[in-house]
Amino acid sequence: MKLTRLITFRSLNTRRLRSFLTIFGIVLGVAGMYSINAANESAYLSITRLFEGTSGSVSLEVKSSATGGVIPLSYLDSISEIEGVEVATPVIKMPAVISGEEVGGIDLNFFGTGAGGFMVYGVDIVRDREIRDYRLTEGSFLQPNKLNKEIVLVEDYALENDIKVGDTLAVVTSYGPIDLQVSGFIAKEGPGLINFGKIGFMNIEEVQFIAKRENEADQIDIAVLGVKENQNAIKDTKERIEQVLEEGDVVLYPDNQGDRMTSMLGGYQIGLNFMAGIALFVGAFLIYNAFSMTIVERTREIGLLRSIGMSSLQVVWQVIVEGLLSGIAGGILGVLLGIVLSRGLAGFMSGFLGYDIDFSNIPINILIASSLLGVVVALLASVLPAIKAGRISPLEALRIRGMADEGFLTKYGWLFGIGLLVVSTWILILNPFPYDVQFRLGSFTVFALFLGATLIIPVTIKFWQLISRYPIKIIFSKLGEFGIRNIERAKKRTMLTCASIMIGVSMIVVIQGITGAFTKDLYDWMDSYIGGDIFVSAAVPMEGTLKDKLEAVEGVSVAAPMRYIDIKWVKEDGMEEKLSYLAVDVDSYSDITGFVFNDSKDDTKEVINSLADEQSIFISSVISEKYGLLKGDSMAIQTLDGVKDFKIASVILDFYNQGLVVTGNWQDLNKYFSITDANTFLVKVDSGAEIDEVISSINTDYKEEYQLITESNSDLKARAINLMNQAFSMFDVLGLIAVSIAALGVMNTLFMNVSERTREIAMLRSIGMARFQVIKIILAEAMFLGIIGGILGIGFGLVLTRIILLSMGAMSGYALDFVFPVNAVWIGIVIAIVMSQVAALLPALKAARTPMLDAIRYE
Amino acid sequence: MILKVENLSKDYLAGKNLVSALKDINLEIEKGDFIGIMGPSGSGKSTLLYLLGGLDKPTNGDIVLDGENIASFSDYSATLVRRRNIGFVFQFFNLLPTLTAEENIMLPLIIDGKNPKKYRERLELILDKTGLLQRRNHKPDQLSGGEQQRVALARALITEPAIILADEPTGNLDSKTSVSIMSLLKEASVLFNQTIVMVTHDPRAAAYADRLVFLRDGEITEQSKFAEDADLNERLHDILIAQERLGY
Repeated sequence: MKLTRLITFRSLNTRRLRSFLTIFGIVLGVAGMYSINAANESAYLSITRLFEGTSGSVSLEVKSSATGGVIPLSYLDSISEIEGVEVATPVIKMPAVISGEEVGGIDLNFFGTGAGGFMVYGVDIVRDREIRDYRLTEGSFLQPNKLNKEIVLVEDYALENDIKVGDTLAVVTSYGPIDLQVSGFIAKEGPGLINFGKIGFMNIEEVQFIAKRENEADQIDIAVLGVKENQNAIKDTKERIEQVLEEGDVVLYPDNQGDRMTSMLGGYQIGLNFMAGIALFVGAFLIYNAFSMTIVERTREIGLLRSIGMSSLQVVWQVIVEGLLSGIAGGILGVLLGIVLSRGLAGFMSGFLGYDIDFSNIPINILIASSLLGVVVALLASVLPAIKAGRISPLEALRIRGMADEGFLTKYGWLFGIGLLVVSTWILILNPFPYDVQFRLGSFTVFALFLGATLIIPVTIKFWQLISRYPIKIIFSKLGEFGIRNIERAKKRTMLTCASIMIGVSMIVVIQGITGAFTKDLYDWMDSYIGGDIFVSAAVPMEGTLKDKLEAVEGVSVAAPMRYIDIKWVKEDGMEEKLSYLAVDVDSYSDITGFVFNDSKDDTKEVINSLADEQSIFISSVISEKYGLLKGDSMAIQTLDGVKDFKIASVILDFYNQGLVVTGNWQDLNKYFSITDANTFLVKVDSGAEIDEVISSINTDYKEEYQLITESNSDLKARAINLMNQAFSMFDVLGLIAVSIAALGVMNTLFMNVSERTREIAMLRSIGMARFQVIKIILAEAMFLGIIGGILGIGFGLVLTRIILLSMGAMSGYALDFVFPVNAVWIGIVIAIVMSQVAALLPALKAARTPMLDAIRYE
Repeated sequence: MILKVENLSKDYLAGKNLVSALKDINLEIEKGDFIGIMGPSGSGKSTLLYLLGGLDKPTNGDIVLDGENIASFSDYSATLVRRRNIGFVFQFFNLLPTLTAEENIMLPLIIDGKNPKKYRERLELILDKTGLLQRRNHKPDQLSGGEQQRVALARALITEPAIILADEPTGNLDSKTSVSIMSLLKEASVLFNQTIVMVTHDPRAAAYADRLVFLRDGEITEQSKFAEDADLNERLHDILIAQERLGY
């Protein structure tokens, strides 16, 4: 311990800059790892908690199998009597708007747009409280059988909107305006979390009366007896209930509405984790480099210690303890930075999921795992340098200043490298394994590809010198050429530094390449999805006749209604798949905007008009590719009239609901789903009319009545693009972390080069080299490293982009075209060069300040 | 006169103590002189050499090289003086391992932004005189110690400097190689009328000089020319005997 305090602590303290660089590398890697995992877990937990909480002890739900279908209340008694049913309670849902509620704007998130409005649930007060746990925080709960227009609100929502118990609320529903009395508040938990807390509970009879839906419900929620004791209780009860239901009505397990969000988060997390893994890998390089560097610097010191009796094992131990201490420091600081970063991620995720995520919890398991990872990586990275230090012979160490950096790896590693390149390329291109194996192998294969490329760097240095000689000579004169020759003196160090630049740059290229391929399609789709000039939405679905009213507003040329509903597609094997169905009024819709057809030959009036035919749909390219459906095929869709075949009239580009969407016509929506209202109107203004003026006319005429939210499409589109960029920018942040770590690597390597060459630099200064010339040499060395890493990074980045796009196409059904990312290549070149030059500044200044006398005199 | 040193002194702080490394040194060196500076360890001979070479700044006094007082020069001006007017030869050769012998020799010209091709003739002459014609494309690790020191000497000669400063040029060589290097230095002094100031411990190396300056505790204790002092050789011999007894 005394030895550790005397040598290891002092060494860390003396070489502060190096200690800082090493620890900083670990900090960045750990922080990246922690923040991504913590943010994801928080998001996942928040979402699952929400949906678990809202359903209470509901085990089964009785619903109509078709969207828009209703459940007769007459079921209630017969279901209640079925063996195993503990409670059966009806629910009726009614969208509403509270007058004076602050309506921000159109909600925009990754699932599309929506007005995100208030919802009224009509519940059977007695039965429902047996299933769901309402915690009253103020006032009183609804009284059974008292029809005095009372509503219970969620406390948080009421506070936000300045509503007090006893207030009278003017509520607008699609059935007209009503005044309601606020009888009490419940806590924002359990049922209070439904619709993110924007919910009010009323007596079901009252809602039935307002909605003119007497003796009807949207669903019946059922709690089953003995669920804990008997695992089959739910299944058995479900079967018994099914027997009493009429055709078209079904018993379901509670809908996991969180599925869509969690699956999306899952995909996003895989991408982010992969990037964070690479950042950590680059970090490990950096640490290894830094440790090797301290060993080189301390060769004499270690030699001296060995000569006065320190054993080889003691030397190894000292270095490992240094690694351990750096790892612990980096791990602790890393999670602290990670906690800050994860809060930043919260904004991103809440933004694009359109849902507030609780990030106040610090997941201890992730905290421990990521800091341990930092320690382990630091320890592993210090093992080789430690062994090397242990091998230093006292004589050799005292005689020479530095050590040759040559070894087996630099001499013969290329053979292994070529092998790795061949195997990983083969796996990545040919996808020889089953989907799930391939998916798991993905990261390893990419890792192997990079490792292969890394191992061939030492034997290719001459080649790199050849191609960089002239540009470097032009920029840095003949001295620059000498600079690049210095690089061959420490091949292993060069190899590791170039590899870290390569990985950083290729990450940037891959990110740019993939987002580039996505954005092109997304922009095309968004142009049609957010078509026209004005986007009109409302918290309460708007009656279809609003179309005529809007078209009567001065300056409005056409208004096209749109309505999204969830439908069930019955596949050939009998399995059901949930899809979104977008209904459009074909005439007005095609007047305002268009479709992005997969096959551009389909972009004809005839094909568009064919969508107006009965039972005709356009499907998204994702569905087409995922399920092999083509134009002319048909899809069996569950409607109110039973399962109907809809003919596929064409394949279009549509990313709504991750591409699981079909588009149909307005008449079918009315006929097969009994829905006549719209959630959005696209409005086109007359040529010459001012969009802002038209928006204000629409607001004057109808905002109050329909609680409209209007926004110009250019604003909405800008927000949508911004949202998309936000999601992608997380990847950019990780790319930048990797590049920063690579920059630290370059800095470390150059410091190492400079300190090994102190005497040489002093000699150069003594024979007349000016300080700025010394700086030039170091900058030239850095640029050379940047050129090698940059070119390799761009090359492998492009190859990887292609491969990833191909595999994504094969795995998910998205067939994205490889668009050569010209920008990415430029960005890669600029980053490699600028980063290497910036990283070289400090080492170059150190070199320029080399004290001539000390260096010469000491020999 | 190529170099004139007047009232030169150098003090430095060793911890809290002020140490006078050189005290009031006066020295005059003519063009073509070959001066040897001798003295025991800590006598200030290397300090003097570094001050003459503009590597360090004196506390007091003037160093007038070729008519210019370099003692008051800025860092950059001193750099230019070293680059164009001074050649250095070090005990440990200090060659760049990545450059060939020829490139190492041409290095000062390259640093000065000169076109090496214009100096071909002088290069060939120096390579010939230093016996490196056959070794010009070899890198330092392919050369013997003696050859490396020849390259260092050639590098010092290439710019035709006003003065060559040699710091223990034979300190890292065996006796046979030392003889050949000293012969070469002497030859350069004669052939190119090159002024040389050499710091050495070795009386055998000192014997090649024209004049010897003895330093002790930062002061010049004696200046003698071989041509004028018949006993000088004998005194060198005594030093050699004494050193051998002490096991140097």
